[in-house]
Amino acid sequence: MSAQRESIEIFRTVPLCFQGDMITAKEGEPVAAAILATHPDFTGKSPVSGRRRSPYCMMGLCFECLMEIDGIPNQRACVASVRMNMTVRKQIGTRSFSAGSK
Amino acid sequence: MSWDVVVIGAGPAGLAAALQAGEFGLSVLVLDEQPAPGGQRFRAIEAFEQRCLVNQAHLSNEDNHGATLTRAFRRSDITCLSQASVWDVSPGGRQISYLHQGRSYSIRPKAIIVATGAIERPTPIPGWTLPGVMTAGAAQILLRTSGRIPEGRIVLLGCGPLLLLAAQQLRDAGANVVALLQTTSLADFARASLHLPSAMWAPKLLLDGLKLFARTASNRTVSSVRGVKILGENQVRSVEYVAGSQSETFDCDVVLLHFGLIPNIQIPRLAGAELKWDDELKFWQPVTDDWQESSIENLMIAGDSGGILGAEAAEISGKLAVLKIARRLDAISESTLEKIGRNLQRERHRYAMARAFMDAIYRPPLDRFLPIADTVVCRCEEVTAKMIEAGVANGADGTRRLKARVRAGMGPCRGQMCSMATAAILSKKLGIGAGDIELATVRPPIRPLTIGQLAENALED
Repeated sequence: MSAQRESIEIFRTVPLCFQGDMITAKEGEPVAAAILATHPDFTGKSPVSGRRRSPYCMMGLCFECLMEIDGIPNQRACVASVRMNMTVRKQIGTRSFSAGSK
Repeated sequence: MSWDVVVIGAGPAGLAAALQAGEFGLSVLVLDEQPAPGGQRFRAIEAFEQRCLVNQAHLSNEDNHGATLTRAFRRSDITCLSQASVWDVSPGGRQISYLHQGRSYSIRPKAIIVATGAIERPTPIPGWTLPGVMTAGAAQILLRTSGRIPEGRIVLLGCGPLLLLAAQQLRDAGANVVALLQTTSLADFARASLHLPSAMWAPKLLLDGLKLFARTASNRTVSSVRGVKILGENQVRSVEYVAGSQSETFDCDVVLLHFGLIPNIQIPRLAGAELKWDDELKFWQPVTDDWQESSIENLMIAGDSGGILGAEAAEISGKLAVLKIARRLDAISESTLEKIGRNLQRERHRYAMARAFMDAIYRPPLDRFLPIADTVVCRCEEVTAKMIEAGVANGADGTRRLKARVRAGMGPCRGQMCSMATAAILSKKLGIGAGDIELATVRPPIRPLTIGQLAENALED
């Protein structure tokens, strides 16, 4: 994913930690959009079959983009907005009980 | 303090309703799941307007209107909670529970206006769970919220005005759209022409639609598409389809699906509002009276969540939804109610007449797209069409029993993605109308909620 047409960006870019790597995201954009742009392969795996999944509806309905955001599992990454210094991890299958206590 | 009105959703209907209620002097709270008002039609409109301004790009008349509406809302003293997710509305619609900034709250307003809009009709086709497949609406949201377009060769597939609009917007943004595959056929246009006279009641709407159709028509557009399969192992590789007697394949990286809109009725269903099946449009919608009131007193349904009429009509029904509430709270007189109300009702009727034309053209091709064999229907639980058929053979006579037998609709999306297709399979197998299929109960929480958040839920009276 990329902005192919040259345009002046109105968003401030901020660092975001995804799977332990630092990526650049736009402040205020959906977390799922930032992840898709840098990691278009997949963002999670089905808890049933383990097949790869990625965001589908981008409006909070399908729950395909569930990720662990700042230590809290089962967050819809399409509804969460990018803020400074977020930490995001793929959710492979169901959430683990060790992840996040909140 | 108890709010006079709580509006759920800050799209065209919700914004118009909130502004109207504010004008009548009612206390209004707006709960919206998105980070900024505008709904999906005017998603991230403030940022989008700003981006257009700094890049000296043209803002369409519709978007300009959306920006004006949003500005009026921001300037009003109406309380709006963004990124507030409603997770329950109690039976009878007396209490709303929502999450905001990690905390849960319950409130008991005097009236509720549901303005939760529409969702894209989930249509299971082989390969639709592969990474690289999204809805056309999802691509629009990416474009609006972050100025990003999907990378690689894009195929748009399905039917409806929004599919054409998305194709246009993506091409304008520089996306590599390699094909627009429409299920719409000439026969659809022929049938729709019967509705043309009534469409003349809203000439602008009609003209916009025709212009869009003319602009998107190109040699990369294929009509009467059926037999669609999305192929790939871990990622989309190609789309296979049949048009006429030919089977064709398009190599691509991204497939954007769209099969029209259906009302988002999760909240009316939670509250227990009466629904009706529209056999022409093939969706459920809440029963409402001339004043947008559901079968539950003081639970109003405005905009597309009450039936798909589009953004312009949504503003009208939003305003309309406030009138009875304002009258009951003695904020307006009977004559004001009648005077404003009748005008709005006439206007809404005009849009409904025009809509019939579009609906006839873009009738969802459900009979040709009934999922079969190994096509995943329930994405959360990976329940295939074959498993659902087996469930029916084992005695499941409605979506509720099917859920218990094969887990279709048991996952986190609460059946939002599969219930329509599941009901269609049930209808076919049982030989009864889709409107006679018993729907599974919607249960709270409809949004992810932790035990801790539930335990610390704050009840405000």
